[in-house]
Parts: sequence; structure tokens; C-alpha cells
Amino acid sequence: MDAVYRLSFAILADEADARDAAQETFVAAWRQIGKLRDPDRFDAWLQRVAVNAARMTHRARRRRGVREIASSRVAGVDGFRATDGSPDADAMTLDAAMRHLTVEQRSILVLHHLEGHPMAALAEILAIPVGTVKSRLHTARQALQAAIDAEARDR
Amino acid sequence: MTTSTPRAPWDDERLAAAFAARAARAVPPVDLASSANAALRARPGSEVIWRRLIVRAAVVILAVGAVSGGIALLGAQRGSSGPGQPMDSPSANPSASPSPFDPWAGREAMGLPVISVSDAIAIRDGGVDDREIAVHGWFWPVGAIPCTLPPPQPLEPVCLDHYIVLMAEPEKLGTGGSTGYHGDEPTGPSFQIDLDDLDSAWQPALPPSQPVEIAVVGHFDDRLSTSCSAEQQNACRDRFVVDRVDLVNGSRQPTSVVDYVEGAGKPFDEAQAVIDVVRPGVTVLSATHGIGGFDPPRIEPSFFYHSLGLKQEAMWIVSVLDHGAVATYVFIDSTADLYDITRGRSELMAPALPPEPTRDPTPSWGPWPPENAFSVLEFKDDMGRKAFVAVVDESGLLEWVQEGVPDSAIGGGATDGFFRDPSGAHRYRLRWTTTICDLQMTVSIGHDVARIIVEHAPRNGCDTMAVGRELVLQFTEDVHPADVELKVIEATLLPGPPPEPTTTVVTLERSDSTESILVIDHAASLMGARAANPVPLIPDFSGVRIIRADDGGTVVLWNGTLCDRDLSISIEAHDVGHPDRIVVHGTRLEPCRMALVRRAIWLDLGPVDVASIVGQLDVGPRSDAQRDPERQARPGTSGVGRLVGDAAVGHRQ
Repeated sequence: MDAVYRLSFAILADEADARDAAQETFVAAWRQIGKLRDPDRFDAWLQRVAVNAARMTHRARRRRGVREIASSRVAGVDGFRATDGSPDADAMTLDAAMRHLTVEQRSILVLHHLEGHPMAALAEILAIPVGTVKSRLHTARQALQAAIDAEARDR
Repeated sequence: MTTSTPRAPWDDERLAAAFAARAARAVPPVDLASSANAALRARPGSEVIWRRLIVRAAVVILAVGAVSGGIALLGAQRGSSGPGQPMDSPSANPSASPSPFDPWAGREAMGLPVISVSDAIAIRDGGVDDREIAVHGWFWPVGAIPCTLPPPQPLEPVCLDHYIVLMAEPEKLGTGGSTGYHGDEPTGPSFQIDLDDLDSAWQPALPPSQPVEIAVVGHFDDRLSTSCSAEQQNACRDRFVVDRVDLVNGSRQPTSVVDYVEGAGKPFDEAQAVIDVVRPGVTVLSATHGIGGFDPPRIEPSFFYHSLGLKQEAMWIVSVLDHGAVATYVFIDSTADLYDITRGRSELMAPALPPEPTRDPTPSWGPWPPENAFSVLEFKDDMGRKAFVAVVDESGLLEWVQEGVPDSAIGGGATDGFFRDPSGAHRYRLRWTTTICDLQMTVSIGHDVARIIVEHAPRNGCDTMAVGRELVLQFTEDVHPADVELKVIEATLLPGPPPEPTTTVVTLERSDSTESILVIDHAASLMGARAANPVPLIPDFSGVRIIRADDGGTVVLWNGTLCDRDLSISIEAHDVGHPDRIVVHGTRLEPCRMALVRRAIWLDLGPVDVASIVGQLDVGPRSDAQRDPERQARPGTSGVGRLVGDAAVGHRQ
């Protein structure tokens, strides 16, 4: 359950949206677990459900503009002083950069760089050909690098 | 001056470390499981799902019990006087013949004659016959399930699917208790029915007190039966797939519409409208909204083997009655295309024909921007005033749109209309005249670009000044401007004069400086403003955040620099009294080498929904002439101190 939430949060970068997406994932998975033919593929199947849920959550929320943020999140960063170049500092940069990407781009990056899935697994999870995975991943990496560079310039 | 150490390139290793560190900051909510459970129970159709889950669980219990000899097997009580006894015992004898007086004689459901369970069984046993029939009978909701059996082909009955039946007589089947579910097979004629993915609102709460009298429309010998395993082929053929529950205890039921996407995507009305155009005269039996490549195989079994290359997007799966047979159509939300799954399964029947825009000449203004807006453009005039244009594309032909710079060589200069733009293939200009008081507009492009409608938001009256608006529209196909009907709907003037903005000065004091921020209320909703309590810097954020304070106030947060000058907050509203946008204006002296600073203003806007207010940061380098003239009279900055500050609301000017 935590893994699904973390995957949703990694894609959506928003506590409330991640919570909604994780909830949607559980509901959909609970409803459809009977259709899972190969139990060995449960993880991939569940991640596919989670990515779909994240996409739909993002789609439903994206027009709402600024949304309320959890006060814990605002307060929690007060004492956060990351060293430049450290993973924590990079995480902050990455977090900001990811917000400039589409949810599809975020999804494929998260699945590849966070979850560590190879191309073939990405193809299965995203239900697209391997060639398309390569193309999309390449495009997403370019977009992410551009966003990171922009963030670096703004600092 | 700041310095920085050289960074390693963002290679895979660094990226993975950053992703891991970022993910480590995600703390799952403690109540996630309970909220997911609550959501599952609240879903449409969830009663069926839960019922099936519970029944599956019961089967497991019963199976284990059968092995140990401790629990009665299903059907063990058949023929007893227990719960399997028919109500009023009119046909406890399985051989009992139907009453000579049939109150259903001559009745119809969805235009089909209603027949008895016995007659339906005769059809079932008469050979392969998948025609749509209407059957009257009795239904007993089963209790309980998780079925851990391997997933079957969608039609294969598993677990207590065997006990979801339509009966000729009103028999009570099964009881639930602490030891599990005890089921009985009906003693009279019956057959299995498949109610998956139909709205279950008609079913009685569990445990039921008596059977429900229903008339259903459906078919035997579903086309997917051939895909069942060899040993299950007959079971699949004999299963009656219900496409519609038409009558329940004598009451006509609405079309079952189950929306698993819940609000996202297109409403069912649009799918219905397209079907009405493409297949006039057919009757919709049921509809389900699901996600492509995910829900469809469960909702419509044929997708199990024919993916159609469906993308992960929302679509309506609609069963219709077409000349006595059931047909399934798929309506893809994003394309508005309609597929006929029944005939050839992968055949694209025709590009769907969305209904002609039937907009009334009177303004039909609703929530803005429209949910289906292709794009929302921001226009600025020389006075710094902004107007917003939402573009809705119903044609599916729009590639991009942007604000146009008036070009007298196109379309005769100031003439309003829709013109071809020679700067690119399939490129056009749309030009209309409006006023500076109209700040929200919607441009709707109809099917085949046959009609373009420009609507203006209702507004208060004001001293208007005409202003031309222009869009550059890039389509994917050629459009003939002469064939395009352009309709401009003027704004409805709301009663009463527009509210005059109020101004309030809030002072932020820092250790080495003081700055005043002007709060301008255009929404007639501000009742107080002051500096907010100290808040930490929001990392990696360049916009405006609006949050609810513990005391009920509204806090506006943003990151800036000490190079920012002439800061003001503009509270804007489409409807007076209901702020929907807060914009932070300001000028940034460039180049700026100052550190980021946080700013936070507390506002009393009453009980507003902060999530519905859009925040916008408008701080950047600009000349004095571009500044909002309202800020020209703002106080300067001075002084030294700490963060302070209440300020009274200013008077209307």
C-alpha cells in the first residue's frame, strides 16, 4: 500500500492527489483482481493500475489551479537545508522540474529511474511497444533536463 | 555575490538518487486503507462487486467446510422446508406448471414480448440462439464473497455465480450467518443470469426479506461462449447475459449507466447523442464508462481478445438493442469516434457525428473556463488589463491557437470575421470586436468548423471602450471561411453598478527593510488583511499558493526576492463576492543577485473555497508604463523591523 502511494506521489508530486490516486488504485485493483491471469505479474499489473489512476487524477485536477497544500508540508521544510549537489538538494530540484512535465512523462521517468524498470517492463506496464517506450523516455529525459536547467538558472 | 560548486551531470545514477531521495519524502497517510475501503463501498455498482466478493468468500468457506465435513454443502438443503422453500409454497414441487393465468401475458419490455422463465429455457435448450429476449421471473440476491479461484474467461461462471439466477417462482434462496453463507438452489425452473457491470441500485439491501420480481432483457449463447474452456462451453452458452433490468416489482427502471471514471471525460449524454445520429432508432440498454485497455475487457468480454489498440483513456461502452439483437458500441472520449464492436469487432463504423451546436442565442455562461477548453489564452492591453479567452474545439481539427497581432493585410483590416491566414497552410484568423470590460470570453469551434461562437461572460455595466480581439487558429485540415458561420454573443449586463475596488496596505517588516504591499479587492469580498505568521520558504515553487489558515482566513504565499518592488495583490472575481483569482503583481529589478524570500499575506475573504481560487504570480522586469496604474499611488517602502502587521481595509474610492 505504501509503495503504491509513493509511486503516485512520485508522479503527481502532491499529497492530496497522491492519496486520491492511491485510493483509486486500490479500488480498481480490488475490483479487477479476478482478471489477473498471471499472479507473477501482479506488481507490473498493479503499477499499471496506479499509473492509470495517477493520470486520471491529474486529468481531473489539473484545471483546478492552485490547490490547498497540507500545512505539514509547508512547516516541514523550514528546517530543511540541503547541501548543494546532495541527493536531497537534487530531490528538491527534481521535484520542481518534474512539475513542468506532463504526467505521462513523469510516469515513464518514475517507473524507469525510481522503480528501476527496464524497457521491456515499461512496455508491459504502459501497454505500449518497446520502441515507443524508448522514444517517450528519450523525450521525457530531454524535457526533464530542460526543466532542471531552468530551475538551476532560477536559483 | 553567490558562488556554487560545480555539479556532476544529471546522469542515470544521479537521477536515480534524486528520485529515491524525493520519494523518501512521501509519507503515506495513515488512513489510506480505510479511505480506500470507504471509496470502494461508495462506487456505483459496488454493491454488486461487494456481493460477489462476499459470495466468493463464502464459496471458499464452503469449500473448506466441505472438505472437513463441518459445513453444509450448497444445495444440501434442496427439497427441505428450510430457506429454499418458495414463498407461499405455490410451486415447491419442481414439476409445478405455470399458472394458467399469466399476468405478464401481452406485456413488453424494451419492445420485446415478455416471456416466462420456462419459455426462455425452451429457447436456451432449442439450439444456438442469441436473440435478445425479455424474461419475467424472480430474483433472490445472494450474500457474500473474495473468490480466490483463478480468473476465468469473463463469461465462465465462478463461485456463487451459479446461484445468481432468475426463477420462475418466488423462492427464497440462502441465508447468511456467522458461519458463512448457506445457499439453496431453486426448486422450480431457473437459469443463471450475469448482472456484472449493471447498476445495482434496484437490488434490495441484504439480507432480503423476499424475492424481487423483475423483467430483464438479455440473451443466451453470448458470442464469447466459444472462448470459454471446453468444459465450460455449455455453462457459458447457458448463462443469460442481462443487458438491461427493465422492470422491478412493476416499476420501470432507468437505463443502467455506470461511470467508473467518475466525472472525468465526456458525459454519457454525448455518447447517446452520437449513437442517435449514427444509429437512429436503436435503444440503449446499458452504458459503462471505463478506461481503455483496462476496464473494457471486464465490461465487454470481446475486448478480452480484441484490444483495438485502445489507449489508456476514457470511453463509453454502450449496449444497444438493434433489430432484436444486442450490439455493443464504444465511444472514445478523446476522439468522439464510435466503434461497432459487434460487427467485426475492430471495425470503425464511422467517424462519429457530434450533434450540431444548438446553443441558444442567449448567453449560456456556466463555470469558466469550460472543462473541455482546448486552451485558455491571456490577452493584455496597453493598460495592463488582462482578458482571458477560452477556446473550445468540438471539431477535433484545431492544432494550436494563439493571440493574433492585427494584420490589416488579412481580412480587410478591422473587419470582424473568420479569414484565411496566408502565413501558413490551414491557418486562419478570427477577429471580433468586444469591450475592455469583457474579461472572460469563450470561443467555441463547432463540428467541421461549420460554426464559431464567441460568448462573453455576464458582467456589470461599465463605461465600455471597443477593442478588437484576434486569434490565430491552426487547423489540421483546410477550412472554407465562407462556409463558417460566426456568431458573437454579447455579454449580459448584470444589474447594479460594478463594484469599485478597495485598497488595503499591508506592511511586512524584516530585519533590514520594510515593504508595503497593496491589496486591491475587485471582488468586494475583502474584510481584513495583515501580514501572515512567519512561514518557511516554499522550495522549488515559483507561483502563488493559497491555503486555508487555521483561523479560517486565507493565506497567500509566494516566493520572491528582495529585488521585487511595487508589490500588490489583486483579488479578482467573475461573480462579485466570490473571488476566483488572486494575482501578485510586482516589478523585479534586474539583474537580481538577492536571495529568495518568502512572503505571506493573511486575508479575510470569508468562507471561500481556497481550492477554487487560482493563484498567479506576475512579478517580472517591466517598465513603469506597463505597470498597473492602480499601483502608482501606492506608498513607498521604508523602515526597519520584523514581520508585523494588521491594516484596516481601505475605503471605496
